[in-house]
Amino acid sequence: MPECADENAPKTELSEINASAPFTATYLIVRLDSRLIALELSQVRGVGQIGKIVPLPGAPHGVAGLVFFRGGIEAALDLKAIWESGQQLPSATTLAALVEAEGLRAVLLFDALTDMIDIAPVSLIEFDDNAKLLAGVTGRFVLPSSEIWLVSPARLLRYLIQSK
Amino acid sequence: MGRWLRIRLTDKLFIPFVGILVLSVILTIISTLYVLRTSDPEHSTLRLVSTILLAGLSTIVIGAFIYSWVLKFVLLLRIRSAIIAAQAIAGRDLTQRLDERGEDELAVLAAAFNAMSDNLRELTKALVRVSSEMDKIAAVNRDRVQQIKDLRRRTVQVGEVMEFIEQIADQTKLIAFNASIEAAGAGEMGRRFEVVAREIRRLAENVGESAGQIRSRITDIQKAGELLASTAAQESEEMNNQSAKLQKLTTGFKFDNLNNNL
Repeated sequence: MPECADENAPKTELSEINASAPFTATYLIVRLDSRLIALELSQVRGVGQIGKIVPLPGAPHGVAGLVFFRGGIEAALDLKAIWESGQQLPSATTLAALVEAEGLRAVLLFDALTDMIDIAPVSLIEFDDNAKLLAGVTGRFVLPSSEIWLVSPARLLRYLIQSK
Repeated sequence: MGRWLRIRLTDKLFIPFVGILVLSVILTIISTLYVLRTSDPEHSTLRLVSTILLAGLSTIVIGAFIYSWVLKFVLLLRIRSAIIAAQAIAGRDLTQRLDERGEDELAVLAAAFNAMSDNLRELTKALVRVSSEMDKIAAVNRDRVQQIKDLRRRTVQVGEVMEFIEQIADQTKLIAFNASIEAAGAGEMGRRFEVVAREIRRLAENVGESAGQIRSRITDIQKAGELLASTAAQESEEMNNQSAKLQKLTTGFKFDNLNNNL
């Protein structure tokens, strides 16, 4: 959660997060394969295990299908498929996070919940041009023990809509 | 009789031989004197020679017959009884004993034979006792294998419980994450709740880690138990085989005259 003056204001863009410096923001850290991914907590509506994913014919690449999650039917996004052009086969233990940004909602699939940490957004190192290769990734936090990629759900969803 | 038993075997064989020789000489001398007194001078030499030859030959034939009887009673009968006893021992009858009265070589042989028989009896009894002890040890070993298997089954059950605890810890962690998310959505009002949620999350993580470590230890114990059970089962089987061989070896021995067969 960003510790800024107006905490209820949506902070979906990196520029807005950086604007809140020197305050810290709270990020949900999840693991996908060996990668650590940060999601801004204010954009996460909940986490949990997913059930059966129903494939959606004609959906953009990376949309695994529809899933019933936390009381609603949501689109499940497979980041591995988006980034590595592979098809993830979700297992019964696959975890997911429901994210909401700019009025768009989706469920992101990942392997494990790692932590919830406070990081100063100013420490984010932005990528130059990685929209095609790593859709939705806005930058990375370099910590002493690891490197964490920050994923912007809004940017990711926009990328998927545009790619359709 | 007692004096005769104390005479050595070589002497026993030599005395009849000397006796026959002396008897032969005496008979020859008597025959010669008789011939000299009764015969005429013309035919005395021929008669003398023939008489000496006849007396000598008859004495030797009679002597050989007597000597063979002496041999039979003195030597062959006792050797035959030793053969019968040895054959009985070969047939697992350890009650056989030889008459060891006297001091001759056959008496010494009989004493040695009896001592060997006694030692063999003691050895066989010891083997029977060892076989019995091995049976007991094998039974104890079988119980131990069963106990190890029971222990392994229980550790598997504990492992299942730990897996269940891990699942609960994971679910608790998920709930705590969701609580943190909700607290973050509530802004400043949810800050205190966020602290509680964070504590619960840490607790769930610790429980999960501890449960994982315990499950790992239990897995190690299970592997060690499997190895132990396998080794003990092999030892038990080996002991059973050895015991069976020993039983087969010691079966049918007769130890005393009361038909104490084993």
